Amino acid sequence: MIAWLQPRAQRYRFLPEGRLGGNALPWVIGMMTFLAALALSGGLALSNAAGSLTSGLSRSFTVQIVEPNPDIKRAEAAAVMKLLGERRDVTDVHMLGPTEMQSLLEPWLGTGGIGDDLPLPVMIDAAFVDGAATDIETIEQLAKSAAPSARVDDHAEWFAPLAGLVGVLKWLAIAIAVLVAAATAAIVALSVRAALGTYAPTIETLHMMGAEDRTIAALFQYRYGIRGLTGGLAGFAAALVMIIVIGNLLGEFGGGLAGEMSLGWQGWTLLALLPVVVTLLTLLTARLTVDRALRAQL
Amino acid sequence: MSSILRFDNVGLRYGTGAEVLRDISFRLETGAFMFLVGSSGAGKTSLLRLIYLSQRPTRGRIDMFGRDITTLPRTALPALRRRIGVVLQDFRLIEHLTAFDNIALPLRIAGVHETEVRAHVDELMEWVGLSERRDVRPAVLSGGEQQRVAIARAVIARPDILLADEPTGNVDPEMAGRLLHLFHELNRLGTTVIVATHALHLLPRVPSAITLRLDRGAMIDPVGNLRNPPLVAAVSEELR
Repeated sequence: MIAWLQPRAQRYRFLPEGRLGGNALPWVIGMMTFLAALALSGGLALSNAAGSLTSGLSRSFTVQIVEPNPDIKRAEAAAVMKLLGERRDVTDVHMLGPTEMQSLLEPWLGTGGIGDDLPLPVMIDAAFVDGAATDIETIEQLAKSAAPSARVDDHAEWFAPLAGLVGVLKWLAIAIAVLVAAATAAIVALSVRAALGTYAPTIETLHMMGAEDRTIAALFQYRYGIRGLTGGLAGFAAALVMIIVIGNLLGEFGGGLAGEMSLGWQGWTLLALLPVVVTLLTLLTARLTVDRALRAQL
Repeated sequence: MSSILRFDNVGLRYGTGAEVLRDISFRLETGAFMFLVGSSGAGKTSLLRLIYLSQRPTRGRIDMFGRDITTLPRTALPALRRRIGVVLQDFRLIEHLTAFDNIALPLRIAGVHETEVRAHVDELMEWVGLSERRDVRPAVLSGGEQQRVAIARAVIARPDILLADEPTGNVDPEMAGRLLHLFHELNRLGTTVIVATHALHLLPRVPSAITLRLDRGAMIDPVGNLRNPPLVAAVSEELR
């Protein structure tokens, strides 16, 4: 490490070279960073996917005309098309044609085609204009007054339970990341205390000669900071590989929630900051632990 | 002369045990040389611990460098400790550092420039006959060499007070004489020296020294010379 970055106590080796508090710490920090990165990326990706799906589905709705009499059905469909077409807050008004109806029913009826004698409802897709209030109740009232057999399906209503689940999962991911951070801090504090115990006679001698707490604390802070950075970078690199592999696998789904999962530049930036956060967490914990322990001495 | 160190009815106990020091009262003028004598367990090391600020008294008051050190916040202690050189019985050398680095520690802690550190340490190592052992770690040094490193480390920063706990215990008589001569020279240059020793035969070598005798934690000062000096070697007379 560059000499000028080193505190005086490190430069003159006031404590022995080698790893304070055992060799396992960077590995443990690496594993914790790996887990935190996976939890955070999962939470962020789910949140982004949910956001993407919600923004698409919460604005769209479908009007069904369920009427056995074909003439009345056609007349009501035309009335609803006219009604929706005249509204400024509604766009993309589109009546599903026979081909689209067939592809919708294909999972249940197969590819054999739909017979003319099968009574199917008329389906009219539409969406609220971006920025407009999604007043689905008014649409329903107006549709029913123009076409008594009309039913309005609010897509957001179907999506609500999934959005709730995704919200819970997102907060769970954040909670996991916070717990992992707390566990890392606890492990670092234990390691620092062990090192303070091991080098108590040396620290006492340094104190006897007039060393200040901050001189000793700076050495711990430096050494633990480097170990935090090493572990953080290693954990982040491992997590990066895992995220890319999982991302590629999810990409093969093509659509739906899995297909919409992506981190976005904000997510990647947040993840890239993780080694820095881990380093700061490690060195701050080391500093505070040393300060507190030394304050208890004379 | 001003008083550099003053004890007023100082007592010390460790935990809930009996007092290891009782009613210690004495005054030491700047530039004095004091022998601290007493049998093993008399409290010499405990008294030194109070002076080098490793322990606070459980009662009484200690003034050092014109400040009441019993009530000073601990953040103020490092600056005072840098004015005190200490040689302990067990030397307290730092095992992973070479003899040179051990001696250089007080200067490096004080932030002295490295060029100056090297010059001072090399000069002192030569003086105490350790030039050949410059890069050797304490584990390889003999007991006498370790002691000389400890003494060199204690004096390298020209402390105002030098404390030595049995400093001649592990050296031959010739080296003991040289070390005492070194302490005496430092004393002549203005350093206040306190030497705890069993070696009563060394006392006459510093005719100007005063002697504080401890017996089972209490000081023997029947006529109060140490509490209210004239600083004469009256107490040490009986030991000669």
